[in-house]
Amino acid sequence: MSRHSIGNRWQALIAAACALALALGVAACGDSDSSTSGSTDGGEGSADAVEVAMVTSGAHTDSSFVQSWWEGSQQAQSELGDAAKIVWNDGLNSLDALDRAAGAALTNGAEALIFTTSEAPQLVTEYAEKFPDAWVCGLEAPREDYLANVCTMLPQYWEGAFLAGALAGLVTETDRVGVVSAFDIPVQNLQVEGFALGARYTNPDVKIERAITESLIDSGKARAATQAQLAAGADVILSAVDEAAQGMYLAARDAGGYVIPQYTDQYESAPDVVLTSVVYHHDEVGATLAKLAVEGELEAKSYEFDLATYGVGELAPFRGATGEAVSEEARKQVAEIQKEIEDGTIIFPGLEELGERGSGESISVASLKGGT
Amino acid sequence: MVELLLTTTVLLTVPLLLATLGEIVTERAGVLNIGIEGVMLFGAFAAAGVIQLGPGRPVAVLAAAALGAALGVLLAVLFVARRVNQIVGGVLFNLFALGLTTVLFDRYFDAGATGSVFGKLALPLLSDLPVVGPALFDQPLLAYLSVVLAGLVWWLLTRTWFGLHLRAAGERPRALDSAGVSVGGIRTAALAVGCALVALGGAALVVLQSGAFTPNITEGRGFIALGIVLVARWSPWWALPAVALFGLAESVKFQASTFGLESVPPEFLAMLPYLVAIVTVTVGTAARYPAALGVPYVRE
Amino acid sequence: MRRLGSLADWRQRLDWRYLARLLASLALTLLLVGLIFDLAGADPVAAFEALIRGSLGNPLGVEQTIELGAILVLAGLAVTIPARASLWNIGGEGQIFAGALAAASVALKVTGPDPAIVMLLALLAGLLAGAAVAAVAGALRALTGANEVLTTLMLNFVIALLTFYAITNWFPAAGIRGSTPEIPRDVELPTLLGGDITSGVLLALACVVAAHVLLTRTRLGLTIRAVGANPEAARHNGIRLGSVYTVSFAIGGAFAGLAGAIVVLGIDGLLARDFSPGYGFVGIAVALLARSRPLLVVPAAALFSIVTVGGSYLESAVGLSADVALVIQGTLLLLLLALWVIPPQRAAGVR
Repeated sequence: MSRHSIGNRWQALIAAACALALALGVAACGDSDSSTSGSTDGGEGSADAVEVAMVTSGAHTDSSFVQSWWEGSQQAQSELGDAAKIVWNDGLNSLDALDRAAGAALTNGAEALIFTTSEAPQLVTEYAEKFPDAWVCGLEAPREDYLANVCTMLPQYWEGAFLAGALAGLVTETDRVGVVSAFDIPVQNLQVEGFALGARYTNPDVKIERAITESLIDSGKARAATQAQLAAGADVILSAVDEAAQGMYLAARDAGGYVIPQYTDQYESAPDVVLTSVVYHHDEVGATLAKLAVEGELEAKSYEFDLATYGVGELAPFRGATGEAVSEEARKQVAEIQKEIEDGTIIFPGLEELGERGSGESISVASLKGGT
Repeated sequence: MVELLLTTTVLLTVPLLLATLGEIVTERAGVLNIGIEGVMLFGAFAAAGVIQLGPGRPVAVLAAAALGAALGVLLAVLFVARRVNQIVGGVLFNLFALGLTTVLFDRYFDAGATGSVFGKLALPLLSDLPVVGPALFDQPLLAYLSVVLAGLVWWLLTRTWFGLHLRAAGERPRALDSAGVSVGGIRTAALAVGCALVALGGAALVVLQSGAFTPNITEGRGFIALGIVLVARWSPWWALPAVALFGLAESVKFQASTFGLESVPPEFLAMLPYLVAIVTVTVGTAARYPAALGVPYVRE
Repeated sequence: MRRLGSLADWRQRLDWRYLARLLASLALTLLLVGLIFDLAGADPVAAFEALIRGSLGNPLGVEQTIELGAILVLAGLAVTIPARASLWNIGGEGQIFAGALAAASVALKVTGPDPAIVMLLALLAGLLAGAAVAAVAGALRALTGANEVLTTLMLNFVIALLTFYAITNWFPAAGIRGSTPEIPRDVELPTLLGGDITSGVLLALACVVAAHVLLTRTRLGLTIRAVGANPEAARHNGIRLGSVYTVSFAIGGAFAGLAGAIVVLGIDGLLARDFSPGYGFVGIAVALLARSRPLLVVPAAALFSIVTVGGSYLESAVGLSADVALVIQGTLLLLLLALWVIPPQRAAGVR
C-alpha cells in the first residue's frame, strides 16, 4: 500500500466517524422526548389510544388484496376514533423489511401487531415471544398450538374461488376456463385449485388452463398469459394476480372473454369484461380484528372467516352486459352451491392437499359432498 | 398460434426496445449506463404522476422523456465531469431511484386512482394482412413510434455529424479530442438522448401495460436491456430482432401447453430470457465493444 | 499494519481540501435528504432522530443493526476481493441466493449426523455454492471474455428463479406461505451469550480478518492485487490472468454464499422466497465506501446497517416509507463519489 492510501484509509474512517457524529448531533437538536407520532393514515388518538399496527408487503394502491386490508385499517380507525391509533405499514417487500417493521411497530408501543400477509408465520412467533405483553396475529393456516399472545386468521379463499369456478363452469360456452396466478405457492394454489374444483363441480367436461406470471404487478405478463388462454379457447378466466388484472382486462377486451378478479369488486374498472368479482371482505376482516385488539378481546386461536360468517368469498352482484351472460338458471345454481358451502354440505379437502399445484383435477368431485 | 406469439411478443417488448435503443446511444458514446434501471423507473413514475395530475397520456409520455433527458445530464455530471466509476455509480443510482420513487409514490399516489392505457391504432391495409396483420399492425401508436425511433437512432448514429462524433467518442476519444471536439460534451449529449429514450421505455410500461405506477414496476427490465444491447451488437436495427427474441422467450412460456411444455415448471420457462442473454454474451464476444466503453476520458 | 508515521506526516495527509469535500458531502447529503423528507411529508429533524433512535436507541434495534451489519459485511467482502483484481462482482445477489439454498437444503435434508455437524456442513455448502456460481462467471470471463458484469447480472435472475422453484418443489410445504419449513433449532447457528444475536456475526468478523490476511499476506492476495493494479504487467510476469479472475470471483462468491447461509441458519431460520432486499447490490455500495479494504468494510457496513434499520422505524414514527433508507444511502455514496472523497480509480473499463 502506498503512503497515500494509508492516509486515505484513516481519512475514510474519520469520515465514517464524522458522519455518525453529525447525525447524532442532528438527533440531539431534535426533540428527543416527544413521541413524534405522525402516521399518515391513522388519526392522532388520545394519550391512551390503543395502538394497533398492520404490516404487509405490496402497495395499498393495488385495487386488490392489499388495498382491501388498508381500507379495513381506515374503517377501524374511523369507527374507533380517539380510542385507537391504527398504524398502517405496507411496501415491505422482503422478509427482512417485514421483520424490521414488525420490530419497529412493537418497539414504538403497538399493543397489537397484525400481519396481513401470509409470508411470515415465523415472525409472528418470534415477536410474540419477544413482546409478551402485545398481541401478534398472522395470516396463516390454523396452528397446532398457540402462545398466549398469538392469534391467526385465515379468510377461506378456496370457498370463494370454488364459487367462481362453479360460475365459470356454468357460463363457459367452450367448456374451457382459465386461471392466471403469480406464484407457485400454496396460498395462491388454494385459489387456483379451488377454482378448478368448482369448475369441475358444475361442468364435468371442463378443461382448465393455468398460467404463472411470476409477478403480482406486471400487467404485461398477465395480459400475455390471458391472451394465450383465450387463444386456447378459454372464455372465463380467474385472476390471482392482484393489480396485474388490469392487463387481463385488456386481453379480454381484445379477444372476447370474461375475467373474474378477486378480493375487491372491480366491476367499475372494466364493465365490459368483468363477469363478477370474488369479494373476500378483507376490510371487514381487518377491521374486526383491529377492533378486537383495541377492545382487548383477542383470543389465542384461529379466526376463520368464510362464506357463512362474513360472506368472505361471495361473488359480487351481476350487472350490466356481463350480467346478462349469466342465466337465471346459472344464478340459481350458484346460489345453491353457496348455500351448500355455508351449511357444510360441501366439504373441502385439507389445505395441504389443496395447496398442491394440479390438485384441482386430481381431487374427486364426488368426495366433496361429505360422506358420499 | 404464430399470430398470438407475435402479438404477445410485440406487446411485451416496446418498453424493452426503447430502453435498448437508449442504452445503445449511450454505450456507443463510451458510457456504460448500469443506471438504466433507475432511469426507467423514474420515467414510469413521471408518466404515471402526470397522468394522475390530469394533462393526459401524450403529455405524460413527453414529461417522462424530458425527465429522462435531465437525468441523463445528471448522470453525465457524475460519469463525465467527475469520472465516477460507471458500474458502481450506476448501481448506486438504481438504489437511489428505487428508494425515491417508492417514497414519493407512497406519499403522493392515491389508492383507487385508475390509470389509463393507450388504445390500439390499426394501420389501414397493413393490419389486414394474414397472420402478421393484427399482430404487428394493430398496436398502439407508441409501438409504431418505437420502431420509427429505431430508424431515427440509426440515422442519428450513422448519417449525422453528431453521430459521427458520438461513435468516435466511444471508439477513439483521443482522436476526437485532437480534432477539437469536446468528448465530454458529446458524451453528455449522448447520455441526455439515451436516458430520454430509456425513460420513454419506462413511460411505455405505464401507458401501454398497466396504466399506473407501483414500486419497482420495472422489475429488472433495465438489466435485461443491457444484455440485449450486446446481443444486438450495438446496432439499432439489430435491436429489433434481439428484443423480439427476448419477447418470444417470454411469450413461449405462456403458451406452454401449445408447445407441449406444460410439464416444464414455470420458473424454468421464466429463466429462458436470461439464459438466452448469457449464452449470447458468451458466444458472441467476437462482437466489438466500443473500444472506450466504460473508461472515463481524461485529457492529457 | 503499516507504521503510521510521524505527526508531521499526518498533518500533511489530512489535506484540508479533502476534509472540506468530505464535510461538504455529508452536509449536502443531510440537506438533500432533509429536503426529500420534507417533500414526502415528514419533519426532517424528527425523521433523522427516529432514524438514530430506531437503530441504536433500543435493544431490538441494536440487535437488528448488528445482524444486518454482519450480512452486509459479507456482501461487501464479496465485492471487495474481485474489486482488488479490478473486476466488479455484480452477482452478489445470485450468490447469496445460491448459498441460502444450499444451506437450507443441507440443514433440512441431511438428518444422519449430529446437528452441530449438519450446521457446519450447511455453512460449508453455502460457501461452496456461492463460490461455484461466481466461479462460473469468472470462468466465462476467463475462457471466452464474456463480460462479467452482464453474466453475473443475468445469473442473479436465473438463480433466484431456481430458488423459487426449489422452495416449492424440493421441500415439503410449510403451511400456506412461500418458504421452506423451519430449520430445527439445534441445526441453527447458536446465538451469542445466550442472547438474541446470532453467532453468524462472529463468522462475519472472522471473514473480515481472513480477507485482510488474504490480501496483505498471502501470495494469492498479492497476485490478485498485482493483477488489479496493472494487468498487462502482471501478464508479462507470467501470471495467468484467467485463473486469477476465476479464483478472485470464487472467493468473493464464497463470502456471499456464506452470507446467504447465515441468513438462513441464523437470522430467518428458514429459506423464504423474498428473504433478500437486495443485499448483493448494497454490498457493492459497502465495498465502495470501504475503498475495497476488508477492514474498512466493517464501519462501512455499520453505516449502511444503521441507516437501513433506522429507516424501518420511520413509518411508525413519522409515516415515511422505509425505502427512504435507500435514498439516504444512494445520495451519500453518490455525493462522496461526485466530490471525489472517494476518488475515481485508474479506470479499467469494460474489458
